[in-house]
Amino acid sequence: MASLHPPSFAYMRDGRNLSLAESVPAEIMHMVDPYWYQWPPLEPMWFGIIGFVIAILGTMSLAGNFIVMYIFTSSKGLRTPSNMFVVNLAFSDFMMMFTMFPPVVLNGFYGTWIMGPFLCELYGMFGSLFGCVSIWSMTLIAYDRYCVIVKGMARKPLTATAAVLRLMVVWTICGAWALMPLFGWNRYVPEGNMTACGTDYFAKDWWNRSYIIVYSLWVYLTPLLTIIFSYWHIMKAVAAHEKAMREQAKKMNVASLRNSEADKSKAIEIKLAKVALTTISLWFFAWTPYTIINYAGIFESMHLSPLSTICGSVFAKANAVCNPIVYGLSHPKYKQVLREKMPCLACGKDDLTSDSRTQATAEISESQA
Amino acid sequence: MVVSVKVFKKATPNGKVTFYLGRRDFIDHIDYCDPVDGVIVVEPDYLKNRKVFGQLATTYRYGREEDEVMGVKFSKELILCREQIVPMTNPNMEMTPMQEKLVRKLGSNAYPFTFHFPPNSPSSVTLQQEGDDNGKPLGVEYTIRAFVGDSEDDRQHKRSMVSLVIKKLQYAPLNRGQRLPSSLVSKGFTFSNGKISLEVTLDREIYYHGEKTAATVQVSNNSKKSVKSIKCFIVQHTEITMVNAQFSKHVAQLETKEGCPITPGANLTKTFYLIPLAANNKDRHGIALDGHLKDEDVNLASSTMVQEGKSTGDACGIVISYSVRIKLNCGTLGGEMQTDVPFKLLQPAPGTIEKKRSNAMKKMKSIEQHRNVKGYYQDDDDNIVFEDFAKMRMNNVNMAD
Repeated sequence: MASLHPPSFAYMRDGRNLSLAESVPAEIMHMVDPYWYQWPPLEPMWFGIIGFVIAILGTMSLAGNFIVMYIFTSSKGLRTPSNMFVVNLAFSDFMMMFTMFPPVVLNGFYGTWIMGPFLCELYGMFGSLFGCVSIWSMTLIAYDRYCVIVKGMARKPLTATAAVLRLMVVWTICGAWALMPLFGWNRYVPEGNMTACGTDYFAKDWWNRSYIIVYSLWVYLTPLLTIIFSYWHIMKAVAAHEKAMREQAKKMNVASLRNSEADKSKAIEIKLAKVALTTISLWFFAWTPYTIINYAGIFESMHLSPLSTICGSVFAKANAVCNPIVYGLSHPKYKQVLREKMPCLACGKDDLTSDSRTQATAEISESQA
Repeated sequence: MVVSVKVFKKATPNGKVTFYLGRRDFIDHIDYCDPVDGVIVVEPDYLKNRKVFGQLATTYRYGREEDEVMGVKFSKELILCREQIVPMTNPNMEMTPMQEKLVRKLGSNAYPFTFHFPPNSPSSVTLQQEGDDNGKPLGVEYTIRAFVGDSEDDRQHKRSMVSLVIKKLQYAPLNRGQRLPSSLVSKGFTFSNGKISLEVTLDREIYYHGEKTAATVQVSNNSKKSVKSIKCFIVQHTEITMVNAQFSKHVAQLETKEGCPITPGANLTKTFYLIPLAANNKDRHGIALDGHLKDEDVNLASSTMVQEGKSTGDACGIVISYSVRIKLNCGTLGGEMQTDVPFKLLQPAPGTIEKKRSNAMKKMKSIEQHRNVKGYYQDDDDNIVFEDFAKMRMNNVNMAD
């Protein structure tokens, strides 16, 4: 049983008899795990650095996700059932940053959690809820891509109703998981440098440990396996398609085979593998640190420093910055609409889309003549 | 009645180069295939040492454009033939009667060209999409195009490029065959003795589009279960060879309880009539159609036929087959039993009596259509009707929006 550690480090280093855990206001002292008594308070500089990093990530994420939501909902051609998942991901990332980054910056300014126990619980709940929804949105996107590319014409296209239904299931289940700690299965407590709150992963009884374990199966293991499964089969299917096409071209004695309207410079398989690997590894690097920290906490297998725990949550938040880039820009039409609506933000070279447009206009003028 | 020849024409956006084509449907007679024969007219003094190149290309599209993510394209283009049309590489080229006629009529600026479909090239098939999806059509499509340029790869000039969609189709053999396809199955039950046997016989092996299929079902029940109802389907099997996908769709169906239940010891003989029609399957996802150019008179895709000695596995593109499927419902505990009888659904070959009959039907329809078609005019001298592609072009414009 881990009991009260004497705040040994604290006065040995600074000569001050104060530990990290004791730096919090008295009203939430009861929520702080005894584990944190062994750490000295962080250097004030760190609060500045963390606050600065989170503020930058927050602004970028809010802007990026807002643009994704705006573009995907305002353009008719982009309002497809599959894209509901992308919009949902952007919304959830947006809300995660919206609820997370102001408190972290504010508390960082004061050097500790000053917002009281209720807001600490609320903060933890929002973090858990939006994190979970983001994770599952990415999983739904991966699975949808799997259906489209691997099952192809053989399946019925995704309908709007089906997409909404899937999202409702995800929101309901994630909502239930996020609310559970407020009602006694595990709890939300201040963590790391005491400027953020999250699930209590220092609880040593199996009742509270079990929450972390079962929750991690739902929000880490299942999505990760689904995502890897989906992209693996997508890559296999596309490689098989390319091979089949080459064989058929051979059967018909045709030498020239090219993707219509695609650039010929790179083999499609390699390009796809890069995109798939980026998507998987982004997900993996965002959520693995958090999972490791939680497991390290409940199994006491690692010596967690306040700084390393805070890094976990920064990584997860960085994901909300990358998602609009990775999921938005992998969408050819999104790029095109972005170029039209916000020319200043457009990246990448202009491709054939503009050509087909000029052709169309030329044809209009011709048929009118 | 004046016999007039219909000619299709389409010009480049700048109007300098025009395609003239005697027909848009080219028939694959299994052992040989009609060549694509046409004429190109170039406005004098336009070329200025440049050349006109022609291509015959096939496009496989096996997924919706809106579903394309991560750089994956669901469409592949194979350029089957490429040729320099102007100036002619072979001035003594043999012309088809249609080409001779056109060249004579269109004057010295007309240049004939002929493309041959390579062996094993698939038939045109369109896979229907749900709702008012106005993206690019799914399936196998053929396009011929001509463009002005300095070399074969010089294709940047959209204003001097013209392309038009053509169809490659298969016709039924002249002889429909005498064989009556049939299938016999029987089913036993785990906890009771005796069997139910089901025999299904069709009245033909080859049906033409729009014809009634007659399936005679014979059920003899020697078991202790009884047959509650009979379902009859016409199933269209689609195999997309380029992505190794296959699926089946019911294109016609009926369910009956007439004569049911077939009690133990009883027999039943009954004939079911079903007509597989594209019109009854409008807006259904994944139904295969004979590559369609206009919405009118579109057929379900014809069965794919291959040369004797080859299996359908060797065929490319989209392979279509049909079967009649009979399902007997033997109650909740008995489960279902079913059997499939394959048949072919084809286009009658021209010249046969059936073709004339179905043409007469189509003519009646097309009289109505012609009232709406703009941009065609009659030329009395040679009895050539030039049908413009204006309508097609309008469609393209809509797509671009």
